[in-house]
Amino acid sequence: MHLPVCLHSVTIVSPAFPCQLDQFENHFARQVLSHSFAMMANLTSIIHSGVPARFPELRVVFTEAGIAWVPYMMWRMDKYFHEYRRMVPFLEQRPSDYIRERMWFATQPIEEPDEPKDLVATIDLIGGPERILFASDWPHHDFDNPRAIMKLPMPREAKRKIMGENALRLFGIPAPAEKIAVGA
Amino acid sequence: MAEHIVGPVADFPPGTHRVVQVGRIEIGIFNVDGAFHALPNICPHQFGPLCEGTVNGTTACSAVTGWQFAWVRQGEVVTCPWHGIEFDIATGQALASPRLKVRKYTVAVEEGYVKVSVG
Ligand code: FES
Repeated sequence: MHLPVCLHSVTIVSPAFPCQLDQFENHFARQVLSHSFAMMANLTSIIHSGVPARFPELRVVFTEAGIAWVPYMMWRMDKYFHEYRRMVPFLEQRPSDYIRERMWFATQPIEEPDEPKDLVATIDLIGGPERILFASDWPHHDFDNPRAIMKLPMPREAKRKIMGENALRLFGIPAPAEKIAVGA
Repeated sequence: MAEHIVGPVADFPPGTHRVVQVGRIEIGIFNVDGAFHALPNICPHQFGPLCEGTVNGTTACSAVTGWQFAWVRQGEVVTCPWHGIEFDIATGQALASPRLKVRKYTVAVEEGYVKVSVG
């Protein structure tokens, strides 16, 4: 089937994974940490156990944690890979290399920096628009309107990839005959 | 390219390494099973004294080892004493990153002396 594995952060906002969320006073804190920490833990788990080396065909999609945490984890894992390579000798390249080749990241809840171009730069750090999939998470409270992507200062081709072409390829869905209308 | 005598070969037995001063430069001389290598004593990571680190082997784990951990390349890897980054003594290349590499100096044994070329 060659379908990718898609990771959703937590079935509900889990009180115990990957950190003790009950220690926080309100849902603001739990919301901020739960999804992103869960995805960081999942990514670290996949890398530290050598999954990309043992299953070179496997593709993984991370959803519902936004995308700006990814460059941080690439740099952080590379740093500790340099220091601790002996513990993970099955990794044939740096964690960031595996991420740029085998992993995809869904946008929702999309980060909203003051300067939209900063988000475009972040996407480039992850490996470019090829790695990014639009997700709406509709009808959750923090859903994204597709126009959140449309207003980013990126070429039309990059937006087409994020808004559908990447997903079609990743899930093996034939592209619709009719052109998908995407405003610049 | 100036050639410098750094000592009699008897001072560098197989399996040992030490740092010598050549002019203003510190150089690590490694005798790996009779093959000599010379690397700068400065780590490309954060400028630690790379060649003062331990010489050892490293781990391997792949289809070749049946996905079991194995100890390999004993005596061929120097580990920087600061953050533990491993370098292949024969190439100067860090094992974990294509972006971290040290240059190599030319080193030879002539008439019982170890000579390094710096330039
Ligand atoms: S300075 Fe050598 S490992 Fe950091």
